[in-house]
Formats: sequence, C-alpha cells, structure tokens
Amino acid sequence: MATTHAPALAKVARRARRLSANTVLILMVPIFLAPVIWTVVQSFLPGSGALRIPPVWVTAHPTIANYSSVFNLIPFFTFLFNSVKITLIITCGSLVTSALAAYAFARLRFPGRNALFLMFLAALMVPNVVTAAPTYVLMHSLHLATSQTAVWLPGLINVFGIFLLRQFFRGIPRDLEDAARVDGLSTLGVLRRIILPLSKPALAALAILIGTTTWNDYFWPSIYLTNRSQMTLTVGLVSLQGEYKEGSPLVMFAAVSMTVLPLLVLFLFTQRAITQSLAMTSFR
Amino acid sequence: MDRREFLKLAGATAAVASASRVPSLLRKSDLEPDDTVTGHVTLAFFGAADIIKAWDVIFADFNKVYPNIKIDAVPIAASTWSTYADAAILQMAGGRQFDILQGAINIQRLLITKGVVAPLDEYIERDKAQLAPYYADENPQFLAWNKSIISKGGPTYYLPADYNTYCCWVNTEMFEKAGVPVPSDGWTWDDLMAAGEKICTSPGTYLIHCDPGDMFFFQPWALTNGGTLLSADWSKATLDSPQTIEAAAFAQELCLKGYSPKPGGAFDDVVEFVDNKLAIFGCGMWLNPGIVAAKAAGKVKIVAWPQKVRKGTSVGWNAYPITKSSKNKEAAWSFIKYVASTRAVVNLTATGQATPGRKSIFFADLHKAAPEQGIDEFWNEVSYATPVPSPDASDAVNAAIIKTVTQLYSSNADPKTLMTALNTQVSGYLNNSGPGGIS
Repeated sequence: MATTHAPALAKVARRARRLSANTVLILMVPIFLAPVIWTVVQSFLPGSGALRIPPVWVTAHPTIANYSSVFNLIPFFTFLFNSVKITLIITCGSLVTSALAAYAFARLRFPGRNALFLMFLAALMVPNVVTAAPTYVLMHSLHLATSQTAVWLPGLINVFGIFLLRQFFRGIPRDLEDAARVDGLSTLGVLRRIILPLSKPALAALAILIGTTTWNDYFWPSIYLTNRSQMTLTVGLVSLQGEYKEGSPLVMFAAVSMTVLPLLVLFLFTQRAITQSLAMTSFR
Repeated sequence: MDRREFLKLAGATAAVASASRVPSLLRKSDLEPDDTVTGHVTLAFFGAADIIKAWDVIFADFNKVYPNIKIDAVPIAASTWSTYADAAILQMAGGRQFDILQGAINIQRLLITKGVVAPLDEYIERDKAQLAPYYADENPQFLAWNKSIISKGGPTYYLPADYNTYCCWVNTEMFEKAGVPVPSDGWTWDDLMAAGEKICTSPGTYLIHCDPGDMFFFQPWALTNGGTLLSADWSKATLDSPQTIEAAAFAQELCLKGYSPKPGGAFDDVVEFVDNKLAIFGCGMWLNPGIVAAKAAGKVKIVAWPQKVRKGTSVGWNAYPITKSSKNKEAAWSFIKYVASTRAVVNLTATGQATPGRKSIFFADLHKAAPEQGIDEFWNEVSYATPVPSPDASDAVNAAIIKTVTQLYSSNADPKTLMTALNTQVSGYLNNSGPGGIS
C-alpha cells in the first residue's frame, strides 16, 4: 500500500512546496513594488496632497505639474538621449570585446595566458575611486576628457564580462569546435557561428548587467560630463537636488519615474528572455 | 497648476526675469566697462538645476563689462560641496584647466591646503581703488573671518560674496490661529516648546522641522545653549560638551513629542508650510524663491533661532578664487572683481536666492526679491553667528554629524552616549591628517 501511494504523496508534497513558495513570493510582491508605486503616484500628486502618512496610493486628480517642472529645470530629453546613447555603446561594445577576449582566454593557447587572465581578474578588485585619477589623466592626454567618449571608451573593456563569458565558453564541448574546424571554419568563424549562438543566454545576461549598471552610473559621467548638452540622466537628477537640497522631492520623483521608465518598458517586453537567460547562466 | 509647480516654475522665471531687468543700470556703477582684458576663462561652479538660468544672466552681464573675455562656464552637478570639490580637484589633477572655482566656506580651507587656489593680495593692492566700494560696503564680519579662519593670517585667497545664515521662517498664520504669540527677537526654547503643545493638535501638523541633513542645521541648537560643534579654530571636537549634549537632547525631545517630523522619507518644507502643516522651518535664503512664488511670503516672519542661554546661529558664504594653475589670471581676476561689484551683486540678489554681503545692496535690493517680514534678521544675525565648521575634513565631519543627528532625531537613544561617540569619531578625523584633518 505504501509503495502504491508514494508517487501520489510525493506529488502532493511537491504541490504543497510550490504553493507555499508561491504564497511567500506573492506576499513579498507588495514589499518590493510599494516603493516604486509610491514614487510614481507621488509624482502625479499636487504638493498639498503628497508625502502624506498614511500614504496616498490613488488620486482622482492627478497632475503633471511635477513633470513640467522637470522639463523646465533640465533638458530631460537631451539627458535621456545621452543616457541611451552611452548605454547602447557600452553594452554593445563591451559584449564584442568581452566575447573576443573571453574566447581567447578560454580556448587559445599563448604564453602567459593564465597570468594575464589573473591580472584581469585582479583589476576587478580595484575600486573606481582609485582608477579615477589615472583614467582622467589618460583621457585628458587623449583630449577626450570633456567628451562622452571618455565615459564609454574605458567602459568597453569589462573584466567581469570577460570572466563570465570565459567560464561559459569553457563549458561548451570542444568537439563542436573541432567539427567546425574540420568543416573549414577559422577561429573567428568558430566564435561567430558556433560559440556565440550557443552562448545567447550568457550574452543576454551580461547585456542586462552591463546595461543597467551603465544606465545607473553616476560616478564617471559626473567626472567627465560637465557640459549640459552631454550630461546623462543620473547627473541631471543630482543637479535637481539643488545647492542646499532645496529641490522639490516631488519633482525628483517625477524625474526618477521617467528615468526608470525605459528600463521597466524594456523589462516588460523582454521579461521571459531575461529570466531564462539569467537562470541558464546561473545554472552553469 | 498647483502651488508646488507654481513655486518652481515661477520662482525660476521670476529670478531670471528680475535679473534680466538689470537694476544695476539704475545704480552708479563701481565697475566701468573694460575691453583691454582679453582671453578665455573657465569657471567651475556648483551646477544646481534651479540656479543655472540665473547664472546665464550673470555671464551675459559680465560680457557687457568685459566684452573681450569669454567665459566658459562648467556646471559641476554634485550632491554636496565636498563631492563638488572632489570632482573639481580630480579634474584639475588630471590636467583640466579651471581658472576660477566657486567655493562655499565648506571647501575654502581645503582648497588652500591642497594648494589649488592662488593668493589675491597683489591684485587687491593694485586695484584697491576699484575695490574700494566693495571693501567699504561689505559686512566687515566676513572680511574679518576671511582673514582669521580662512586665511589664518596668511595671504588672501577669497573675496567673500553672498552668504546664508540659518533663520527661523515662521508661519504667522499658524501661530495666530493657535493663539500663540508670534515669535520675536529673544524668544526662547521654552517658548518654542510651549508653542508645540498648542500648534501640534492634529496628526501631520508640525511645529518645526528639525532637519538632520547638515551640521549647518544642527549647530544653532548647540550655539544657543552656549555650546559648539568644534573649537573656534576647527582643530578640536566639542560635541560632547554638556551644553551641546543638552541641545541635542532638546532637539530630540521636539521629535519625540511629534513637534517635528522624524527623519526618513521625503518632507517638503515649502509645501507643508504653504499648507499650514508646518509652523517653522530653518533656512537661509535658498527656499525664498519657492515661498515667494507660492505667494506665501505674506505670512512669513523671519526671526532668530530660539535661545536658551544666548543668541546663536550658523553662517556660511560663497567665494570665487583664482586657481594657481590658471593661465589667464588677469581675466580670472576681472571676473572676481565683477562678482564683487555693485552690478553683479544687485543681479545676484535679484534672483532671490542670494543674500548679499554688501550692506547697501542688502537694504536696498533684498526686500524686493525677499519681501518676507523681518528679512533684515539675515543681516543682524551675522553679528553673533558662528561660521559653520569647515576644516579640511569637513566632509567626513559633516557625514558623521548627519548620521548621529539622524539617529538622535529618529529614536530615543541616549543623547550623551551618541554625542560622546560622535565626538570621538570626529576627533579622529581632525587628528588624522594634521591641522585640517583628513584630506
């Protein structure tokens, strides 16, 4: 009898575990979403109705006044365009350089390969503030210090990306590459036609990581971008605070809402691919 | 259009419009147009979004006086003066050329000890006739502080410009409605606490906003109780003195009683004040455009900080030094003379966000841009105000004070324990790297 009922019991236990996990997740949703929703709702409230306790979650009389103020105070669309441009350049560019470098470290044999890779990894341990001055000196000597190039050029080399892709590439069977070479593919051909198509999940995960990091980056743009026509959204947001923090919180909320909106929209449309790629990458 | 929107949009517009009227044209100028000085000058300044348009007006007017000097304005967007200084110094260390670097008191010593700024004495001596109106008119207190605590008896690096003291902006409507006498000069901590009982009768209505966001805001509590944050020369921490601890306890009590909103979240002083939900906020001139734009200036009365044993408040001021590395110091000096001149100070004052250090302009022009009752208090306070401590390590000191005061205002933690620990921490910052503290 016991053996007859065992599969059924296991099934029930699995369902119970899944149900309890989903219940916990559903209960956690408001905790994660509440600050975002609150910020967006506040940005549509008039000053007299905002920032109240208990919080206002819905309003019958929304206003776009705070959004108007944002556009009055900063050239929002210029900043948005700059953020999109720099994020795209760094994301696409670093995927290319990371894939090339990672493949070299994963498959090609050359003297000092491991030592060089260790040096790259060591660079991960160095915080931004330490490299800020030498990087600025370098950019200045290249006459790039006041341009957007100074922000995206160093960003094209992403050590973490190289590390991540190297580990992924090493998991791909060599037999596939050998077969491709027998069919006449060159090293770059193998990378382009065999390795990269098989590495889409890792590439997607890396693109997400680099894209969001670049989008949210304030440190480098604040150092290099001192011309308003070149600034990014993060720098623009900080300038809204004012010299004495006199900037309106509601105007800040409006600007923040518009800043996260492109990422949210992107996430909504690519949610399935993102979660799949992150899951697959993490399993390796 | 709600009040907040009106506040910002109209504030900025009014500031630019007022500045555009160039009231200086009606005034005898102490700076005649000069086309002999030529060249290119790069000015780094704190790039706050709400003041940039007003700066454009200033630059345009500067070019009327010095048509052959091209100003390359570099707004550095930063969250604090220290991060602004870090960004500017990093860029200069990396080879970027700034000729002039806007610097509030917070970073003036730092710029000197880092060797960033150049002495002005030769220029001052050479152009003393041109600067005579400035020296005759500038509040002597700022000139004295500039010599004693900034230059420390050494060369002159700065000409003090606009300033801020920390005053109480009192909502007279709320006081009158609660049947509480509107505060006036000499009012006390006891008066403040007593007003809380009558004004804070409903949830969400506050007597005062105890803002932990800067040591500038906390210092008046200590000063009015006879205490200090640092010693007069900024070399020693005095945060554990009985007077300062008692002041901390008093401010904490205001929060515990619900007379002040607790830290955390967002609290908009202007919105709450306009809506009669906040009876007092502490501020310099920086929220004036918002108050004026919201048409709330009529119910404001500016008064001194309430006192326990003596008068006291914080003061800080701006300046525009020439950098040591400037390759066109003559043109940079021209800009500094311009900023000190009547026409520039009048134009800056017209923005409603700058308190002029020049007496004649304060009393002739500030009232137009800041019509609040008792605005003269900003001038009177300078006589007994204490400069906000600005050692080299002011960023670390300020961050430590903000953290502790936030703890103080948001909990019932023992003030003595907190302030003693804070004093040890701040002493470490001051001792770790010589006379100015860490850098």
